[in-house]
Amino acid sequence: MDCSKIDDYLMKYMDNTLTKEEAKKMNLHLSACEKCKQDFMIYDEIIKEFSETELIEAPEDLEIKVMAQIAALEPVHVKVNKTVDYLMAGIIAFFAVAAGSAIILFINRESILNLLSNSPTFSAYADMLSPVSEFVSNFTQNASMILTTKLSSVITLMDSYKYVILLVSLALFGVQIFLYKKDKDKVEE
Amino acid sequence: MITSFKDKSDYELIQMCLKGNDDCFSELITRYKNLVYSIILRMVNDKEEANDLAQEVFIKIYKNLSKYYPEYKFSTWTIRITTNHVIDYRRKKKQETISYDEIDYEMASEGSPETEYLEKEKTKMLNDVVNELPDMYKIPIVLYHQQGLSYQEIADVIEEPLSKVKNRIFRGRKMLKDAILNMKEGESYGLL
Repeated sequence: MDCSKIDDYLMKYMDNTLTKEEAKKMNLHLSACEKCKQDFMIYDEIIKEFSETELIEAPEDLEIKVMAQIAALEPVHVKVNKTVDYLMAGIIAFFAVAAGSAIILFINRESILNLLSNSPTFSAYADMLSPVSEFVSNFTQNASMILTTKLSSVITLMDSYKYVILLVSLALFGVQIFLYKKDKDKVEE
Repeated sequence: MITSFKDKSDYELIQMCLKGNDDCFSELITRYKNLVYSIILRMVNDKEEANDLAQEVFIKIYKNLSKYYPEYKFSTWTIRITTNHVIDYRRKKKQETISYDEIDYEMASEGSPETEYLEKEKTKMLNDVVNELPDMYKIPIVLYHQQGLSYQEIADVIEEPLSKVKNRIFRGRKMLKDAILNMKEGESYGLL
């Protein structure tokens, strides 16, 4: 066995992963090669020295000093809670419910108006609401026509630049993942 | 109250701390202060400096508790913050060499004064050669041989691939061996 192979065995010896077979081969070489034997003895001494060095004890008052400094800081739990803004969440929830109800009313406007006009109590309200319903119908019809025209031109445009858009989207996706990972690993000073 | 903290896992303590119970953080400091202090002392070689840096590291850990993800062990995350903090500090200070003589390692004193002296000399020599290693080799070597971390844990700490960690440890060991050989040849140290 040549000396360069012994290097691998010495590393395995330091990792405590040397097999019996490898140990035998290594011992055979060490008994014949003075240089490798000297290397082995130094590595062995390094391991022993490291294992004998005890974990150095930190000063006893470290906790007290750190906790005193923490007391002067903004508590972490306040920071965590700040991220949830309950007022904003309430406003968003209100508008979401309002928008949802408006959509349901809009979709079912014809049947609601029919229902109201059949009822003697609400027929007056139905008469009042029917021009509004007509206006909304006309408005949405016009809006949809305009939107369809605009959309078709946007679709044509997108079709011509589909590869550019795809590349930009992929790049943005990559940047987003990078930023997320960076933010996740970032440690505040 | 303190006894109940001792039964909690690191992650449970962190969650309790994030809910407003700062006393839990004191328990986390007790658990990891020797580890953090040992690593820092190994890197800066000055007890006062190590004490200040250990406090800064724990403050940093406290401020970033909400960013801890249990995909890594808390000790791994703590060591990562510790090593990065000391590297930043040294970069700012541009500190190169400080004497190791101030560190008084406690030796098992069972032998004769001569044996004790030789043992202390051996330890000092290893400290000297480890101290001379560049951080990129020193940190993995210390974490592996002194703190008992696995290759994978070290890879998580220094955020490098496993192969790079292994290479650095192998290369670092050879550098240590060569340095000791040079010292032995230059002066008659009683290593062996």
